[in-house]
Amino acid sequence: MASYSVSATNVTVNAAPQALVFVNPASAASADLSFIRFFAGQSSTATSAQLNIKIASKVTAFPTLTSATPTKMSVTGVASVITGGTAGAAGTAGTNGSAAGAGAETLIIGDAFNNLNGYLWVATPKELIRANAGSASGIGLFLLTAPSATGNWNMGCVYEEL
Amino acid sequence: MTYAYMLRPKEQTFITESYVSTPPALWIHDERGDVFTLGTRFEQERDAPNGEFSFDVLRNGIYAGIFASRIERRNGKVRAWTRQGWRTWSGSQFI
Repeated sequence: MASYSVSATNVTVNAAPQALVFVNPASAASADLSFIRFFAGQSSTATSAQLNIKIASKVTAFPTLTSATPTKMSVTGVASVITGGTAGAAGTAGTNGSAAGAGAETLIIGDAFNNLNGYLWVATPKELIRANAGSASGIGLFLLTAPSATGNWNMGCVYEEL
Repeated sequence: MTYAYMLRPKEQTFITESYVSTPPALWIHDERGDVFTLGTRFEQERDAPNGEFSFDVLRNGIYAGIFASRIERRNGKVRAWTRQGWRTWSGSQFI
């Protein structure tokens, strides 16, 4: 199984609530996705603050994003079936949302983190988050609290194609 | 894969408080300004702590010699949880 990363580094986030990273599986004949890791953190302020965050699935209307092409984790591996896209549509991925989109969100994991420590979610073997091809919904990491400092954010996720 | 947050910070530095663990924190910063993170390379599940995935431990983005499922800062030291138990950072290696 090949692994891929969708990430952005040192970007300025938009007003929350907002998708930090969003990946939407492709149509039914394509590969299912299994999410291993989500992360977010910032380095622009040393002032401690608690922020809310969640991992959720979302149906259309999807968020508006900055296009991010998945990076293969193996240099010699094949490219992902997911491509970069700004509309959150099926088969696309993006980061740093600028418009939340009106689609319903289904909470998978709700959490809070300290902005000095950042946020990392890694699955245990029994907790892998699966996004089936053709499911008409994407999986994303969403920042729910507006941060006091919006600069120098890192965010991303790692998924496997099954 | 090495992300920017895995590297020694340039913008601002701070020391991670005791009892902070990654995950769920993204990183551990020590008093030397070093940053410890979990990398993206997997260890075989039979070699990982029971019931968890185990990743390479990075110090300033460079492999620090062990795989672990979590890294923790405690009593001024950085330690990592491995299949063989806790391993503590000595300043040059995990022992």
